[in-house]
Amino acid sequence: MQRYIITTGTVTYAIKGKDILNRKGFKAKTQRIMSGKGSAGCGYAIIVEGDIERATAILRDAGIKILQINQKND
Amino acid sequence: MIYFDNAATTGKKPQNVIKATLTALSEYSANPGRSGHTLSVKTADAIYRIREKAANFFGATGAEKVVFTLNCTHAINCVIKGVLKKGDHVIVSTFEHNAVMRPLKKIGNPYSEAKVSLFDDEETVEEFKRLIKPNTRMIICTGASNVFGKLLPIEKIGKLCAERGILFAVDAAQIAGVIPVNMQKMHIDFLCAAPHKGLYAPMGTGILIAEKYIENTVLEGGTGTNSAQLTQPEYLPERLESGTLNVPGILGIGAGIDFVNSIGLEKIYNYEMNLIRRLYDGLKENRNIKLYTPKPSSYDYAPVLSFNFGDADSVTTAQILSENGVAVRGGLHCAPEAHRYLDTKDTGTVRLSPCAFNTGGEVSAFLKLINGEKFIKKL
Repeated sequence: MQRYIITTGTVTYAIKGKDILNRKGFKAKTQRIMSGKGSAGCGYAIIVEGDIERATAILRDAGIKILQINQKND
Repeated sequence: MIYFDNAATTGKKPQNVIKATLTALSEYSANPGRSGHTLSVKTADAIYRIREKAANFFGATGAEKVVFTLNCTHAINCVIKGVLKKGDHVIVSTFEHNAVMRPLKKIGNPYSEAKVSLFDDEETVEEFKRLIKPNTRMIICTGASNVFGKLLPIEKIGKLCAERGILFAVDAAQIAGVIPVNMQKMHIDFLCAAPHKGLYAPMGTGILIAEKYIENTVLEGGTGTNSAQLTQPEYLPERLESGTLNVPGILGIGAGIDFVNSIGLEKIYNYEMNLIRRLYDGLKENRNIKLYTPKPSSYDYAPVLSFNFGDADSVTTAQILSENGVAVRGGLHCAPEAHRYLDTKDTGTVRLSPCAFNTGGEVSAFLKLINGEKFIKKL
């Protein structure tokens, strides 16, 4: 199943988002990331499997600040 | 020792708080929110669980609103210096601690002091209402006087703020863990707490719960995120949490909340107020003792009581009590405005503040000591 990296910036929002997604039946975990060239620098992200549109809608409804969404290439 | 100085910090910490604090040093000794290794992530997760616990305990809208600070004073500074702009008018009460008054003086904003009635909360609310000006931006007041124990009608003042579009900040140093505080129900925008008091957590801990944005920061530095930028992250709690967190203290806060919840806030409060009333009655029998408030009734007072012995200054009385095995605090308690208001600025007061670990036997022993014939000879 396709996995996605949802960058939240802060570890607090990453953990909160992970908890919410897990409660909604997603398989999610937090991970520290480097956001890459031109980004704000290091931060935290939620790694999630499944329907990314539903996942991001859930997170936005819960007030989670999403900075970036990328596909995770394993 | 009989320790009646719990309004300064609870003298006895519960076993689960001690255990959690020590466990932090052995099992969570990694920097949360800084690294991606297992131990750092585990510690960050543990910290987040305590943010959740604190948010639930104080009726906040989310765990991310909970900021861990160095102490309650730091939290209050974050609010006063972070929110107020030049020219904003502020209303405080006559019972404010220097934690509120000194930052307010420092920024130089205009402020008014609302007189707190010891007898009628409606009168107090009317006084706050009377002082509102077109440029009043914030009411900041203590939940209870740290000298005289009088509870302020926080919910009513919060309602007034909500109706008038005024920000409401509460110095909850003497009420957090003592009486129920629900930020949503009480319309509190900023709650500043001293968890080492009523929540029995280790000293050197503070909580700020911010429901509204804090524009200016009083401390800047590393947060583990947005590191390429030379400005603070925009979002709470990291915006206000630069530098390594006090993980042992924060885990202690979590355990302290568990301790209070396990017994029940109301049960602890009623127990402490019974001790206070026994102290009040016992002191009242002594014609040398001056008391400054009516007999403390439940939900009008926090378990804090001030007195003086004859014309002796309060520090001398406290010293003699210390020499006889009783820990109390004398002086102005960092709240000179309260002493001006009740005319005790020259002598200060001796403050008694029991906690859940004090006993009726300790109250009896204290009263026997202070009401005994030998005590007056010591002064």
